[in-house]
Amino acid sequence: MDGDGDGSSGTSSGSGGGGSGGGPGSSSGTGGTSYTGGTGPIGVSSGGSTGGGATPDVEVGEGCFCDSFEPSGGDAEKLGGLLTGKDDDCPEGEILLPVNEEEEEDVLLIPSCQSFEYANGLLVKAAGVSNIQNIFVAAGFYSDGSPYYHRFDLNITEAYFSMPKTWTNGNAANYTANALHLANLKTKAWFQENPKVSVYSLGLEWDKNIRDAMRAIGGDHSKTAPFPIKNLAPYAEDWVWAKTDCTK
Amino acid sequence: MTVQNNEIDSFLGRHIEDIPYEVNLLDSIGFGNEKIYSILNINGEKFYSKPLKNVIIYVDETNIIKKVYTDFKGSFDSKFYNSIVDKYGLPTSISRRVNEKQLESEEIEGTILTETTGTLVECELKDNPDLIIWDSLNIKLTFIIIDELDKIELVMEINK
Repeated sequence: MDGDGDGSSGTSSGSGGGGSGGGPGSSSGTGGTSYTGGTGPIGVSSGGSTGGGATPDVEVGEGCFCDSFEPSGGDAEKLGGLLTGKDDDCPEGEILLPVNEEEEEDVLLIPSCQSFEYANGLLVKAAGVSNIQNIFVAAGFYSDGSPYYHRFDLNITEAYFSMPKTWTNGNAANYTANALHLANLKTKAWFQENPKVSVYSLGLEWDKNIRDAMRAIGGDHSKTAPFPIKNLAPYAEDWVWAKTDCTK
Repeated sequence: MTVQNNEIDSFLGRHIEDIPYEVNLLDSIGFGNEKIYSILNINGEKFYSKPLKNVIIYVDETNIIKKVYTDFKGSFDSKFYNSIVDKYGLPTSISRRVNEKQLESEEIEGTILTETTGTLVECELKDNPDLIIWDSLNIKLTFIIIDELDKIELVMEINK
């Protein structure tokens, strides 16, 4: 398997990119998380990218901190075709409205990449997001036939996402949005499998899943900023299918 | 490898290498007898009229796909409902939540947690159901409808 996403099937075996050239193909080393190997030029440090002693002061949303990395076509496809290969534009922060130009079509709710306004620090780039609203529902019938409906609302008041500095801000936002959607989906599946868990346990599971999902693409998630970030971007969910590419 | 179609409900019961997508190992459960994968490159495919973004699959110790999880935007409209009925017949159960009790929210490490519990009663499609189940001989489809988010979650599993 070459990991180029040519449509052939195959399972990943945890072969990450390692120090040089992993791109999104990095393994987190946690919970068996792995990723198919990629050939992009991104060096990934396993175990997260946050931390470090230096604390450069960066205000999110000001200026443009674009870099030169664009994943190869295969790497781009690996996260669901989010990337278009367009060059290193920065997200401009405009609101994308759902425009169905031809016919009404169902669209998908995903975390918006516009929520992740990445800016460079000394070691990593990071984005701060406020009020990530999640609703998790487990519903069904126990084996004795009795029905249940459990709903947990999680409002993460502030969260920080970091990615390697070699990524463009737009690509970092795209991959982070997809990682968040994947972490949410995995948490929902876990809750449906375990409908009697406490809300606290579900919160821990979500923390684990978002951290795993971010580390799988070479980034990280934390509740503290890797460097001072003055403005947090409000969390937004898109109703826009195929119009959430923040490289555009 | 010959693949007849890419509908995700056709994945159930197949070996993980027999689906037309690459997969990415997310986690192992228990002693590794069960594994969770995400499907790569499925963004843009559809489950009937609903676009897919991410899909998670559970496989057993022989790498046979036992469960599929995904979610969609939108309501459970008649077009979507009829497409499911066309393939699986009428649903086994349509129900909505009642007797909800919301516990007091608590904040833990910057996360505000709110728990709501309730039960379910049978209803009709026009009553804004929260849960619709197709439970056929071989396959079970569970749709959880979250109106507040205009969102549908789907669990597909092989009937035991």
